[in-house]
Amino acid sequence: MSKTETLNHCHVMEERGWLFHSEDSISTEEEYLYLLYALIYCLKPFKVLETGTCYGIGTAYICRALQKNGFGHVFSLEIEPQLVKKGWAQLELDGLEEWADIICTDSMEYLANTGEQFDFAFFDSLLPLRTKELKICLERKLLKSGTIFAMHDTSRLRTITPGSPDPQTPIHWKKFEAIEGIRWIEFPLSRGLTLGQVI
Amino acid sequence: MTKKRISSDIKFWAGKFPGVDSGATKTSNLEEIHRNDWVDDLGQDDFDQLMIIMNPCGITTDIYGRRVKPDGRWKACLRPKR
Repeated sequence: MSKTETLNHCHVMEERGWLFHSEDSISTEEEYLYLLYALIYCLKPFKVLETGTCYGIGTAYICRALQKNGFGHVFSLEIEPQLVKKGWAQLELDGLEEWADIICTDSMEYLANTGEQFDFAFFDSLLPLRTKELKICLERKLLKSGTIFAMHDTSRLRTITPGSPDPQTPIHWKKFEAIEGIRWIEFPLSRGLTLGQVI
Repeated sequence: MTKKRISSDIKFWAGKFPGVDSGATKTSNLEEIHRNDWVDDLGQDDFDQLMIIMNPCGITTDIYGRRVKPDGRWKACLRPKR
């Protein structure tokens, strides 16, 4: 059962974290997971990219939406072998294994070499990696024009210890805003999520 | 062993099943499941019934086990493995 987000993660008042819910400090908030599910359900992607499987909770929501669509597959990248195991266990719990590949790999290395093209992407690996992952996807045309992507943890007010702004956040935003060929909208509450589209 | 999946439409609440307290106000469908492996995986062979709570996206959020004998009480919440 999810806890109130502020029990898992520190927030400033403007983020209204107390209105959100999450399993733990790492997994995506339930509200954004529902959004992720709805996006997959609406966009009907054939191939989905996820970076940062972590405990596989986001992967499970993606898989359940793919299952509801009746087609599609998620390629979820995770560098930690232990988390890959946990991710599979999460999918097994709901019988969703056939909808996913959880690949134990460095996301940058995978994206530099894969021949796959994706119809939706969810960037949720380490924050400093996310713009790099997006850039390589754009450079290698792994995301085509019109493709929608989501990026988690993009609150501009992000704190990692109470009262201390996350030093990674302004760096992330500077790099993200410098990327050409995308448009985006921000969901500013809680840990934040940015929805983008390749132009 | 009978296992039940309980999710949307049926609302139950703390107090209806002794031993189920917080988190027992979620809703879902009632349908039979035949997933013995879940029971074994969780190490809960001694439970007679499992109650699996799924959220509106169909993701399992909580699992409760019930021992029909000797007193029919619901045991404490069994969390999905993480």
